[in-house]
Amino acid sequence: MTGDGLDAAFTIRLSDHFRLDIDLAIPPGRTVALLGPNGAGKSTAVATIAGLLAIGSGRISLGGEILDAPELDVFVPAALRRVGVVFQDYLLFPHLTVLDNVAFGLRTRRIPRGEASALAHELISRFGLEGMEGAKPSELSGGQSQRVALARALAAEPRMLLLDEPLSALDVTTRARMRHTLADHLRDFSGPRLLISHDPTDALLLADEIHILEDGVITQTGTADDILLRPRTQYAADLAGSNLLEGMAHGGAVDVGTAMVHIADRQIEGPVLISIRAAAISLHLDRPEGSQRNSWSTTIWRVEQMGSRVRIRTGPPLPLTVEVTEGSRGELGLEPGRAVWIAFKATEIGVQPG
Amino acid sequence: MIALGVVGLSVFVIPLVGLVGRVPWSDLPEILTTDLVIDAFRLSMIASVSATAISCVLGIPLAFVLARVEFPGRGVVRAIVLLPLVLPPVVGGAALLFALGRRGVVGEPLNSLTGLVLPFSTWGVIVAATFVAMPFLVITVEGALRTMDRRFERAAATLGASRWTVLRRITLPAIVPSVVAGMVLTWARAFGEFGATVTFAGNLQGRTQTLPLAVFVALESDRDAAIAVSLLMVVVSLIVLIALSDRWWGRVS
Repeated sequence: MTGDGLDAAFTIRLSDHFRLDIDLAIPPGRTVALLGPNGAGKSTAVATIAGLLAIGSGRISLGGEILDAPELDVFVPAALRRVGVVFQDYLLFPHLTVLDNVAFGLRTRRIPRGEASALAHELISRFGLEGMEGAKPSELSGGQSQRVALARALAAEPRMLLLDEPLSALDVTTRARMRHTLADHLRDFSGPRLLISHDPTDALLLADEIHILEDGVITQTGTADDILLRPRTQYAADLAGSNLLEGMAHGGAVDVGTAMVHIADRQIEGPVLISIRAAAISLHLDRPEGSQRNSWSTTIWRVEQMGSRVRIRTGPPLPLTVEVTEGSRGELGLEPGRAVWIAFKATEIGVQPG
Repeated sequence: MIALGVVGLSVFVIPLVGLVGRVPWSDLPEILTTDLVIDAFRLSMIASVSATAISCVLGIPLAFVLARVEFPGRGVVRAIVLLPLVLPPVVGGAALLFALGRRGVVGEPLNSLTGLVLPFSTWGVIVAATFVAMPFLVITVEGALRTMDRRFERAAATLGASRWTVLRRITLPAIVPSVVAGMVLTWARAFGEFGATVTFAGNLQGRTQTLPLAVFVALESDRDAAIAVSLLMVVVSLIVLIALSDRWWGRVS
């Protein structure tokens, strides 16, 4: 890719047991999310692109300029990359005021103090923080800190933005509000944007494209719909609240080893991945009647309360996770050990080549 | 717990009471304005302030090296730096004499090159005070550099800050409280320094006789003068410690 986008294809070995393999391209004006569990290598990815950590092999380039390429002996240090970073804990300089924090990146570009202050003032009011100029970071709320961190990063006029878990330090209410504010500000930034998150909601709402990172490897790339409807790994399936199964498809049925699952697609043949959303599966005390092609009797293994929803894990022949409401749990008396009938429609199953 | 704490406090208070109880209050103005005391006070001030200043100029970079540069034998180097804290000052003074004396390994070339003679001179007093006191500054600043959150420095780098800008605007402000605390400790140690000074610089009034040396001499000849000078040291030290503790030590913790 060329233009003002980010191209990152590299490998870095952090220990004998951990290697990070990244391959992503972000065009200007687009947000890509790197979504993965803790320890997947997300923060390492941020550090390498920001220039705080050198890659082992491969190449990182931004707007056609090579930032890191060990084979070419090129490494542009962080201070010269103009990659703006919003850190997980924001890392606002505690001894500087809000104004001086925001003006920091302007002053390093040798913009005179007066002009830098004026520009910082302008940014601060654009972020709805008028009157906070003289405050120290310790006096700010989580949401305010996040906005100051974003304003500080943008003040340095970066060529791209890296957002490392920008919402994870906020409480639930602030988080929902800031997600929308952040979405607005991201739209105003014309360069490539990389969002790091372990929260699927952030990634689904803020990103145009999602890369799932597990154990240092990108395991799936796609839009929010791709991930939700056709998860390819157990992690992605968990995010989507789905059951992920591997099997062999033949004539509209998939042999998953201990059971045959009927699917709507009669054409597909060979190894496939199928996903069944936990909420699309129903439980019954008697054999269900009607159009549901997939139905068998099983017993309940475990019951987990998740707020107003209940997750139920069923046993053989095919262990599945089922999501029901608290009401139907009480109505049907769904407790571990209970014999039930399970049912789901063939049309509710996501099927993709394995 | 509180009872033991009070006993602990008494360890510090009892000698103070003993001293204050013996102060010849009526003769105090006269004793404290003798040439001997004025000379010693001036010299103590010059030596302790100079030693603190030199410790800052040399000790802060040394703390940076110990905290930030990885090199083989760093543990040994740190031990050598901290040695004056545990060494009897007399031994330190003797070591200084062998090294920096007129015929010492460093003293001889220093003398022939610059004509400077350190032993038995005011410079010698400053060197001895620096030797025993600088470890306090190094250890305090090194600790601050080790415990500070380095992610702020990285954040500054992503905002375009050069290494020098990071040092000036992020790292140094972060360690200022510790530097000041280290300076106070260094000054206090230098102000009370006795053993290394008397060994290395001698006891010449007006040139190398600091307040502690004056007290030691006076104990033999003029007990009232010894007590008066001791009181002077207690008062000056307390003023400095109280004035700075409220402002700075609170911030360090």
